[in-house]
Amino acid sequence: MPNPLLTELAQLPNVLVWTLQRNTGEGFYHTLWLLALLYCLILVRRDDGRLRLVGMALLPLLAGWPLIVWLCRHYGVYRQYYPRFAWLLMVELLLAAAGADLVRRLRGGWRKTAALLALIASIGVCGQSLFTERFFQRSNPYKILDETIAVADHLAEKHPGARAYITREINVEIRQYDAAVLLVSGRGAAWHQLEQALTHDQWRDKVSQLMNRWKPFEIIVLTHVTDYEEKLNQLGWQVEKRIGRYDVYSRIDGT
Amino acid sequence: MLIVELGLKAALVFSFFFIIPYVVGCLPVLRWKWYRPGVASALVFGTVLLWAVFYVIAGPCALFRPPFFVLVTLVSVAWGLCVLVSLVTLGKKIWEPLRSLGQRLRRPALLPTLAVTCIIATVAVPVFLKHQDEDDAFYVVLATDAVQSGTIHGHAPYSGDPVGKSLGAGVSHERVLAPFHLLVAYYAAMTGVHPAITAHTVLPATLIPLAFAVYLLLARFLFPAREDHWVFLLIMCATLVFGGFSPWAGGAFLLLRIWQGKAVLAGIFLPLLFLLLMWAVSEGLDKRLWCALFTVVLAADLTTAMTFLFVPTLVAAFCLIILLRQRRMWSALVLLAAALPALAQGLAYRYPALFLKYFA
Repeated sequence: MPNPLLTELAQLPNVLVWTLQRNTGEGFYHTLWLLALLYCLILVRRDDGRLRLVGMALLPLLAGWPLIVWLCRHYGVYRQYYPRFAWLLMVELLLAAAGADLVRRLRGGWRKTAALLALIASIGVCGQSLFTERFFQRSNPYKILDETIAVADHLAEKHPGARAYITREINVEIRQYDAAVLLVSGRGAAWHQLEQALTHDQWRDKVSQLMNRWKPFEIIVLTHVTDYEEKLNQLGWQVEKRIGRYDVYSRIDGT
Repeated sequence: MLIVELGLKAALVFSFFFIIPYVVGCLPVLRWKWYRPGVASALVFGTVLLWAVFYVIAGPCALFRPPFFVLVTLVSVAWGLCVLVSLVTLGKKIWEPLRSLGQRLRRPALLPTLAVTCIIATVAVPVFLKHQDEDDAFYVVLATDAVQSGTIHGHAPYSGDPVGKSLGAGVSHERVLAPFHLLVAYYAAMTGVHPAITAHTVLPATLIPLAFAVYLLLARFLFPAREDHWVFLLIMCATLVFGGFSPWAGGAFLLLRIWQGKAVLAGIFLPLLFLLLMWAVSEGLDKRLWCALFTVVLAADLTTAMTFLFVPTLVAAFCLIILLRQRRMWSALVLLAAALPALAQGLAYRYPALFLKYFA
C-alpha cells in the first residue's frame, strides 16, 4: 500500500507549478514584484523600518506558500482557491510602496517627475490593462443585455411562474433582473445541452432524453437558428416571439 | 418626477455609503483611538464597524432564515443605534476631521489634483461601463431574490426552485458563513435601487473609493511627507489598472467585480489588515489596536468563506515576525487571537455539521 502522505507530497510540485502559472499570468508583473521586494529588503535605508517591514512580512508568506498549498490540499479546499494566495503577496501595494520610495529619494522636481513617469510606463509595459477588452458600453442601468430584460418582462407578462430553458447569455443574467423566473438548467454544462442535442445526428433521441431528465418546462429561449426552429417545430414547439437575436418558444398545443 | 426619485435615491446611497460610515467611524477613530483621526480613517473604520455589526446579525439570519424584513429591521435598528451613540458621545467633535480636510482643500496643489483625477477616472470606468461575470449568476441573484421574494436563501440561485427547510445543494454552506449578498440586498432594499444596479453600479462607485481610502492610510503609514502619499496613490492607480496579468490578481478582482465578497476581501480587507498588522509590529500591540484588528477580521468574515484561509495566514506571518524580531511569545499569541473569528469560520467550513446542524 502506498503511503498516503508521500503520495500527497509527490503530487505537490505539480500543484505548485499549476498555481504559480496562474499567479504569474501574462506579462512581467512578477519580475517587477520581485524587484520591488528586493528593493524593500536591500536598498531601503536602514532607518526606514516600515518600508523594510513590508518586504519582511512577505518573506514568510512566500517561503510558507508550499506548506499552505499542501495544507489546503490535505483539508480538501477547492483547487481554484490556491491561486488567490497571490492576494497575500500584496503585488500592487509592494510596487507602489517601492516606487514611491524610489521617487522620494531623488532630488529635484524634474528627476522625480521623470522617475514617476518611467515607473508608470514600466508598469504599463510589464502589465496588462484591465480597461481594454474587459469593459463594454452598457445600454441599460442594470448592465445586462436589453434582450434579457425584454425576455424577463415577456415571461412575467405572458407566462408567470412558468419554467424555462434559457440559453447561456440570458441564463446568466435573467434571474439577476427578475428572481421570479424559474430555470431548467443552472450554471455549468447544462447551459448548452439543448443546443448540443439539437445539432446531434440523432437529435430526436437526444432531445427526448434531456426532456425526460429535466423538470417539465413550458418555455425555451434560444439564439435564433433556422435549424433549431424547424426541429423544435417537429417536436411541437413554435416561436412565440422574437426578441433581438433570441427566439422565445412555447408549445404549439399550449400545454 | 423621475429626477426627484433619482435625486432621492442618490441621497440615500450617499448617506448609506458615506455619511453613516463617517459618523459611526468617528467613534473608533476619535474616541477609541483605533487609528489616527481623519476623514479617510473615519470612513474606513466606520464601514468596518457597520459591516461587523451586520455580520453579527446576518450570520444567524442566514442560518435560521427568517423573512428578509426581519434582517432589514434588526440591522437598521443596530446601525441607527451606532449613529446615535456616535452623535451623543462626540457631539461637535464629529466635525473635526471634516474641518481639517476643508482647510487642506483650500490650498490646492498639482500632485493631489492629478492623483484624485486619476482615481476618479479609474473608478469611472467600472461605474459607467459594464463587465460581464458569470459568477453574478450566483452572487447578484441571491441579493435580487432576497429583495424580490422577501426571503433569505429562499430559492436556489441557479434554478429559482424553493429551497425548502434544509439548504443543501440549493445554497451552499459557504454562503451562510459569508452572507455578503445579504449586505448587497440590504443596501438595495434601503436605497430603493434594484439589486442588479446596486451591485453593478453603486458598489463600484462606493467601494473602489473606499479601497483607495485604505491605500491612503497605508501611504500615511509608510511615508511621513504628504507629497509622497499622492505619488504612492498615483503608482497604486497604475498598478491596479495594469493589473490584468492574471484573472486571480487583486487588481482584477477590485476593478472588475467589486460587488462580489471575495473582491472586497482582496481589495479592501487584506490591505487594511496588512496595515494594522504592520502597525502592531512597528508600534506595539495594544488593546485599541487589537480591538480594531478583531473588528476588521469579523467584518472580513462577512465577505467570503475564503477569509478563513487568507486572514489567519497573514496574521500568522506577522506573528512569526514578532517572534523572530521581538521574541515575544505572548504578543504573538494575542495577535493570533485577533484572527479568532476567521478561525471559527474555518472550523465551520471544515466541519459544517458541528455548527450548522440545521443543514441538510
